[in-house]
Amino acid sequence: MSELLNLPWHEAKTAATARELVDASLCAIDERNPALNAFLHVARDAAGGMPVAVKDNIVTTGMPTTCASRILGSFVSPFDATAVARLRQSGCSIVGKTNLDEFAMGSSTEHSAFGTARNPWDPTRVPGGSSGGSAVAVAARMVPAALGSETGGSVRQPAALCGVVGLKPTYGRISRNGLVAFGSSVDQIGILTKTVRECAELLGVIAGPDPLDSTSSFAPVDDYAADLDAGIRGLRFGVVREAVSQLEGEVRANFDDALAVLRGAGAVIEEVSVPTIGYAIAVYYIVANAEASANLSRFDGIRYGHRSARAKTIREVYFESRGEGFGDEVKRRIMLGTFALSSGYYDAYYGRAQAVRARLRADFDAAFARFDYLLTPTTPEAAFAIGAKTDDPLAMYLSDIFTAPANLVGIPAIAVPSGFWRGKLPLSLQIMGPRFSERALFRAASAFERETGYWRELPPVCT
Amino acid sequence: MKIDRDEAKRIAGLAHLEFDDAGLDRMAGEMTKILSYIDQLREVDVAGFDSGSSAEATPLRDDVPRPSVDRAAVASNAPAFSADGHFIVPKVIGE
Amino acid sequence: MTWEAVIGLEVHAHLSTDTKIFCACATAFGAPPNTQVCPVCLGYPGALPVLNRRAVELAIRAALATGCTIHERSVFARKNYFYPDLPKGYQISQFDRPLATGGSIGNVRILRIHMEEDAGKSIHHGEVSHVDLNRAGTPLVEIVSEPDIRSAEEADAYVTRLRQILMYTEVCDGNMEEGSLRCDANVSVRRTGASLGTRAEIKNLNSFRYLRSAIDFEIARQIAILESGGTITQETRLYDPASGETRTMRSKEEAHDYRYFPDPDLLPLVVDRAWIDEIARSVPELPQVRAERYQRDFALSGKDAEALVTSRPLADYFEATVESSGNARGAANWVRNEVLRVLNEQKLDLAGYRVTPGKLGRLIRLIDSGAIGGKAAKEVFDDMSASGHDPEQIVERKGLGQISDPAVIREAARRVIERNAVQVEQYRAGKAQLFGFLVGQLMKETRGKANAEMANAILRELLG
Repeated sequence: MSELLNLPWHEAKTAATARELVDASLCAIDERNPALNAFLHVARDAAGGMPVAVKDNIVTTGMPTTCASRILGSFVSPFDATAVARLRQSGCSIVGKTNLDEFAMGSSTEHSAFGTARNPWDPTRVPGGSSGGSAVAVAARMVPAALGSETGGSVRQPAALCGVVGLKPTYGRISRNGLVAFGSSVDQIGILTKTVRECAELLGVIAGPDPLDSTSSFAPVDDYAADLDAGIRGLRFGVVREAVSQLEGEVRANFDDALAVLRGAGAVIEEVSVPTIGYAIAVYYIVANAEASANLSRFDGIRYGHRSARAKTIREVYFESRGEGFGDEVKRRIMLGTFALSSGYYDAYYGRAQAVRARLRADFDAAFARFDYLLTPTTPEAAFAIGAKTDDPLAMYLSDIFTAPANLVGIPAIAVPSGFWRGKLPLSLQIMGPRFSERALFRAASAFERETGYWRELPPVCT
Repeated sequence: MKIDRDEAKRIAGLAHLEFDDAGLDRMAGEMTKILSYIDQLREVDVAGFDSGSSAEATPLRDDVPRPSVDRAAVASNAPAFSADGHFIVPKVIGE
Repeated sequence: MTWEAVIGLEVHAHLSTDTKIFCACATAFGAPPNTQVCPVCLGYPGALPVLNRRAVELAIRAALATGCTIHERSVFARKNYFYPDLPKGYQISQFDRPLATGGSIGNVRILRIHMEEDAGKSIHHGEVSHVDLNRAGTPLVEIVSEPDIRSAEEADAYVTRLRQILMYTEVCDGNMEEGSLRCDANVSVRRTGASLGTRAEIKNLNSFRYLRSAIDFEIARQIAILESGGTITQETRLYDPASGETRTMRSKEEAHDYRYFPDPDLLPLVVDRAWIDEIARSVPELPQVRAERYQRDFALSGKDAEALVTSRPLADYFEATVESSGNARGAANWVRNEVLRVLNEQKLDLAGYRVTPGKLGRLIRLIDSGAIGGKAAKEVFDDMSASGHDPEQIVERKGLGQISDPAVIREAARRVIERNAVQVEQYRAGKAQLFGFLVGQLMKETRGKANAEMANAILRELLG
């Protein structure tokens, strides 16, 4: 039954009824999730349709939203995120909410208050984060598609570590209404699937302007799957010099192999410099955390969520509820963000970070003037062991070194499986494009996928 | 940029986060480390680049009322809600 | 070497929109608690703000009516602080890029006008506070004056004029009991000619009486402290109506660090010239200008003119009465004295008042044409107020018409003179006091209806 979910969606839906497909998904979840902890909530009453999992920082009616935090308590949202509503309207069935780093703050899912998720290729290793649960759900073939969210790479990086496709669309392409805010000027909902086609089709369902999100874009929604077979002959790909120069060993070799595949398909590949790209992590950690420090102020135990049982004064309601409800990583980021905005430091930190961000945007614009796409590996390394980086926040942050730039400048980027490290842990190629070039992005990703077919390999848990 | 315990305490106060002394010290240490990484931003030449005010304009909405959330839903999510429909908190002193 | 008070006022005015500033919840006053709320104004996770166009329009109108410069690009910023009636833990306001700057009311300059959202309401109940978020998200303009005010009276005058302008332009309903208009006062004192003293802020002065009392108290308090060698603490204070004193707010010791930054959920507010001009055309004639026009065109006194422009409906009523009566001074008298009296006594609203400008105007015409006398006119007016009938109908029904035809009065006077020959003889011989008797006879002859002035004049003429 669960082999149905190994098929690309356009095949699966002709092979079974909507009800059978949801049942297959629920069955796979029952079988595989206990060891992987990808799901925080399973909707046993899910209707028939295309089974989709939703990261638990995207609100859904009729089931809890926890953001993998204690501070949400037993909160149930009275409204669906716009992306969720559009999925439902198109006949998808929300089968569950997936695990994440608390409030999407992390790169491994280890910062979940409900235990980490595990990489289906090697359960002693992290699936990446923050959308680790969604990546596992797709990689372990429990669902054909999952929504995640991106602030610094949180869809692409776990997609890379789990061997699935992960898309971060252009900022404003998908409505943020219902995505619990982290870094509002960078946040986007992202899509994880096993194949490029499935990703392109789902983007068409949920993309588009939303009157409930002032930052959503009126750029026309494209036919994203139209160019999947168009090939990449003659198209220009720029390898980001500053990213590649640090690579070594198997990751370097894998990346070079990927370039060879693209060349073989007719791509024109050259190096290009994006001089300020090395500063992206620093910019990201000021801007996103500053915005987050304000976005998380609403969690105070007054209108919803956890209120400390020890709180007797209003001050205690705030301090104790937030003290008990937030995990360490979240507190760390709130502290950093608060500091960056505080009197006397705003110009030197938040102001400066935004200025560097503007410069980074200009560097990317210059690169896209000469190239259709930019290339890097998605991550500097394959999945690391659970616990390996939790004592070193900065080391954890550096996992986002190739992904964060796209978030900051608002461009779309896609991660596609590019092979395996030591034959067993997935590696991934990242393709970036200019704003609203998703259709072209899918074209390139599809060409690479066609030549390599890594999505056909299944993690041990599926076989 | 070095963060000491006092500075950590001030920031924690602004953020309404509770830490004991050990927690403050740990936070101070971690922030110091992270901020020293972030301080490399000072090297970047940003002449001519400001916070990048977007060229776009915020969309405007028609002044037409829509139904509110059902108060029962508000009550069910609230940690403390009175029979007459208020959120309850311990007495707020002053303003 | 006298003391001088230096006062600046921040006035928060609710904009008269149907929905809140960033969500489509209704703003009607008086709904049961927490029934006009949604994920946005509740601060629920995932909810986002979307700006109300009409709120922007009204804010622009307020800025134009106070002579401010409108900035075509302004930015919303988050003002971060924690309070139970502030659901998001920040207020969306404007900081360094406000909507408008640089206006004035009288000789008080306006520093800036910006848009922001209101917080909810907390009500204290012994050991707990109850929070109602119906008001959270109501659109506000904050109007900040320069510290050009020098006394409680000047503060009152400034707020009176500002409120009047906001009501005239239908930006705000000015209802202070319902909290539509709230004032914070920044007060300091200095020796004349010295530099600015340390100021204290007094928050939430919600009536003119409290505004004046609080400022008077605060000035005296600060002078007393300085004269005894102390210093003023820069702080926020509250006014206690029961004692008539201001006292320190017992909140956190540290000064607020609001950590303002541009709200990333909203793009900049852009208002183009064409829209501003369109709104400018919809700004009605302001009270000051209108009063001056009345003095000029209708020869009214300053006091009369000011009384007639206190509200726009009243001024409209007055002008419509001028139109229908053809007599500006007459209209001014009747509106100022009689109409206002009835409205006050009976607690009526001008909108539903039975005496329309048309009817009042026709009453005045009846008086001016001599068809009825002064006393009868009052009777007709009172009847109109109660019944709403036309003046002509009432005059007819009650037989209040007076005779103003000189020929008829002359005829009657001749008959009176014939019939009272003895008295006439005596009057002509020098008994002046008999005139009153003869006038009385003439009034009887005409059954009291003779136009008194005319009767007097004609009788005098015929008696010689």
